Amino acid sequence: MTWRGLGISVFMIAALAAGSAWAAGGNPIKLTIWTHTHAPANAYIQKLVAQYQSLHPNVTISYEPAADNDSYENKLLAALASGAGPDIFNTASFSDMYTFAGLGQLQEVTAPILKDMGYASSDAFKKDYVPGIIDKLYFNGKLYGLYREFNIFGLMLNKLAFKRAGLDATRDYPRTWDDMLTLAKKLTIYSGDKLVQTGMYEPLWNADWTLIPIQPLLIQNGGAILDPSGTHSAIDQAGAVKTFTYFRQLARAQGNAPVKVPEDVWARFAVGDVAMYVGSTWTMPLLKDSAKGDSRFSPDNFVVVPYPKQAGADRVHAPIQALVWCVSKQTKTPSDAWQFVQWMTSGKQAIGWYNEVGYLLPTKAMMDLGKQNADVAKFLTLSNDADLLFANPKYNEIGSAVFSAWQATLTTDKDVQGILSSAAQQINDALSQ
Amino acid sequence: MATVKKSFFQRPWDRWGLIFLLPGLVYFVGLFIYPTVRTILISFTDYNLFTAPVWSGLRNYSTLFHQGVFLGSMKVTFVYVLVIGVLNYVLPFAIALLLYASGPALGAGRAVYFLPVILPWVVVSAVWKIFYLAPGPIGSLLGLVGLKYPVNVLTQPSTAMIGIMVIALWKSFGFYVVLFLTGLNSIPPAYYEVADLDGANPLQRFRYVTFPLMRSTSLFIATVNFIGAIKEFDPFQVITAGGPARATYVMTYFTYETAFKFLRMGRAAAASLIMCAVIVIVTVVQFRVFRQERD
Repeated sequence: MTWRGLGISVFMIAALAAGSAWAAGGNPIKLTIWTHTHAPANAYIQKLVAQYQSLHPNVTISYEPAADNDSYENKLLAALASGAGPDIFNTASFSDMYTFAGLGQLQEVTAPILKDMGYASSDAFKKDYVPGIIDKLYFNGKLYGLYREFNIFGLMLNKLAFKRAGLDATRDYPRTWDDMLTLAKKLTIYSGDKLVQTGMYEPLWNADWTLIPIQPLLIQNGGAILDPSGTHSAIDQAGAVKTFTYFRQLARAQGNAPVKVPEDVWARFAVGDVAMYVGSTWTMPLLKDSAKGDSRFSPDNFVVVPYPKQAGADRVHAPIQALVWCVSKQTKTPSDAWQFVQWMTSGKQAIGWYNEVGYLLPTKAMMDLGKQNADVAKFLTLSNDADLLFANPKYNEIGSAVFSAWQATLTTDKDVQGILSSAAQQINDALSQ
Repeated sequence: MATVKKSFFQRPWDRWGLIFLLPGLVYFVGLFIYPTVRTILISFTDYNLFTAPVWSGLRNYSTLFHQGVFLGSMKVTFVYVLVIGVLNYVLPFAIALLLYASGPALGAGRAVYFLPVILPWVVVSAVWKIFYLAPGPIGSLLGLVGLKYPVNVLTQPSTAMIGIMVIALWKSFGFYVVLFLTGLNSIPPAYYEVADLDGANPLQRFRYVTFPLMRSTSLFIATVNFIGAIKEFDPFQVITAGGPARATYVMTYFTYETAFKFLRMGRAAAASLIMCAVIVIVTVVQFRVFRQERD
């Protein structure tokens, strides 16, 4: 074959390939997706990508889960800043959506895109979600995200640990915060100097995992991170001081048991060496993995109950930790990107998020699943009484101050009011600029 | 009288010299001069990576010196640099003296103490985090000396910095031992022979021969050690993330968090320039002190 002949052949093959893509449903479209890493979620997304590509042969999706979660946010930030970001990504925290939207880095779901997604109007779109909850995805009146995960937290109890302390988890669970204080003490067991069992674990991980245990009590105490105007810190006010003081008491009530690091808490909770902890629907698969085949683990050992309620409080205010799918402003195909996200989080795919990953989504489809699945129903019942975790475009700065205050409260004897006044200064500094 | 204009390139092959220099120049200007100048300029602006920098004059500097968190990070850094600076001088020097005195017998063991130097911080951090787990090997040891409960030192503000210091010393002291050994080997044996003839005891040999002749090595080590300690970042990021309760919140971590978590590039640039100024000032002082001693 001559060079000329070869060139003509290559051209014809390329033309045929392009033609077949066109015939199959339009221009070739390439999408890239970045996510943080969570093995079950990564596997499920790979599966969804393959399904979507077979349904839409003109769409090629390149999926890249993060190598490690610590660097995910930085990688995303650097990529967006340099114009090399992905088309679709999940935020590292709920607030990141507000931050990136505020910086003009996100593609909003416009009315034409909503139509491409199959909705005649914004109202029709909202009807597919749990009432009110979709409103949180609007920033300055524009829709910038769809939920990737929507984790409603409850108090998880290990029956084995309760039994070891002569208690019954299904009957003796804490109804009030005072109950929890008493129970934490009873459930902490030492054998001589050796800690055998921790009553209630208090995480020292990051800002989100500070708010997950404290936010319900903070709200029940009439406290808040920011004042109602959102322009000043309220963390040094009475409600917050009372809340942080309570959690210090809780730590101390367990005989000054040392606060553990996260590496081993799931494993200890899985086998009953921690009696009470906070958890969501994804917790059980994680506990199973963490137990590493230990015979003491069984899903039947766990009871999920609501967070305790302070006397006089209107409701529990269970926390919801959510992550969001966003589409980058840099994408060349915003409508296609949003159509994929919407497909991935609705209908059967939404159910798959629960079945294969353990994530809840605030969709009508998930509500319907709750009618058949007792576990889903249990957590969805908690959602009637739940609030999203505190979110703000300056969350990273505010969260850093709150997390430091939380650490200082649990691990030092410094005056709580002083700790929170210092945190308030940092928050006000963040808000003022 | 007509003046002969001297060409910059006096010989025909001088032009080639410039061409050969170009890669190095491009590298130096592109990766050192340009970022430095840009950092200085950014430090006078409000800049968040995504929108154009806005001139803010000296506000970033003024904010930093009024910001408790930054001042706290300076204090934490000072303690870390001081302790590491002293221990990373005294311990390697003492070990190098022992190794030097023992002759080639311990030479074969050099790989053992130099190994941590070549290990990446991420690996070192992961391993030491496991060591520090409670219950864990170090917690158990602490239990043996009377601590009632196994405590992970990294989770307690009072001990977290000590935990990091131990790791930093373990990781870097081998490097300084090698430098000290090189210095010790460069001292001419004749000095010791004269000292022996004068009846000097081991302490006097050290006081009047070894120590004075190790001044250049000491200056180098003190400077490198100081700059290395103040610039230390990896363990604070990987192991403690500046916590708990900002107990290990050093200036480098403050700068990182301010830039890449809070998107305050201007303030982070100002913080890094303040750190740079501290390094320059202390290094100049170190040089002066050693020079005075030498004179």
